[in-house]
Amino acid sequence: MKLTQRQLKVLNHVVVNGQEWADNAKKESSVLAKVAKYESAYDEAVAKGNYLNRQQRDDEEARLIQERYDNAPWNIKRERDYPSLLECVHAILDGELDALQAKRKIVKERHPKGGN
Amino acid sequence: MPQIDFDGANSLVKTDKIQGQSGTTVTVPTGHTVAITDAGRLTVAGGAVLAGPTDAKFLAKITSGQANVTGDNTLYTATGAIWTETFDTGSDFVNGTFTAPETGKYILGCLIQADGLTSNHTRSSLKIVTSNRSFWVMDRHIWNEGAGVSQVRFTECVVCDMDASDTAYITFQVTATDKHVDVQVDTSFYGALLA
Repeated sequence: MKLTQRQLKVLNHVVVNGQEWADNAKKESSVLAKVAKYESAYDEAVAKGNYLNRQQRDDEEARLIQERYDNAPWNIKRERDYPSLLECVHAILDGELDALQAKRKIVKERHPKGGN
Repeated sequence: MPQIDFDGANSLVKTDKIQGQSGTTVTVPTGHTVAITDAGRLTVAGGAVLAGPTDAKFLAKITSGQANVTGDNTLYTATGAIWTETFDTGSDFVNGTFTAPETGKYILGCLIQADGLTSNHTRSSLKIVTSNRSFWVMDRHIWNEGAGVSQVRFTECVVCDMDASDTAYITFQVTATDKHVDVQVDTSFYGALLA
């Protein structure tokens, strides 16, 4: 379906790729209904300034989530990298605690206390 | 209390008669049923329409295991001719993508059976991606939280708003080094129109 510029902008406000969404829509009436449903939300968002469409919002969200993951506190990073519970149990039962502690030491040095 | 007798003899109850009753309850005696003829749906106060037996609902499973789909940060999109439908009322599910036949509130969920995990596999994420929004339903250390076993299963579920022709599918991503994580045959995707 050929969209007007405004229809495309409204759809891109809601979905990642408005043209692709419209092309896959089963009925033209579905496209028109979706545009009508989100027109005012799009206009309000634009009026607020610093407008981001859906793709841009998704990208920004992914960036923030990655940033939070990368900048997690040291204790969280240690939890991620420590040997698993199963590995700990095996080390205890197999008398391999020294090797386990060596692994833990590497993790502690990689993520020093107080850092992130 | 007023009662309506459904005697199986073409009883006709007019709307204005029901509204004219002074009581507040209509009782359907045991052994009798109320047939809803409006596309199999029941409209309740406020205009809410309860989904009926012909409304969208689907359950599909991976036909065969998909080997080495992620593990090295590859984003695996679970679409393609890899699904077998257990049921698909309305034929709205095709190759891993569900297309909403109408605007409404839907429940969508998935079961992931991942195999081939090692201690090299740390962060994992699962998304239910709909046209209107992506639900990041899982973001965790898959190896440690799986207690260090190579195969894990987990289920996630969302209730979401979908417009007619909106789509939904699932993505799965595991980091960090080895692309040796499989998605196995119990992996399922399911959903239904709620209202």
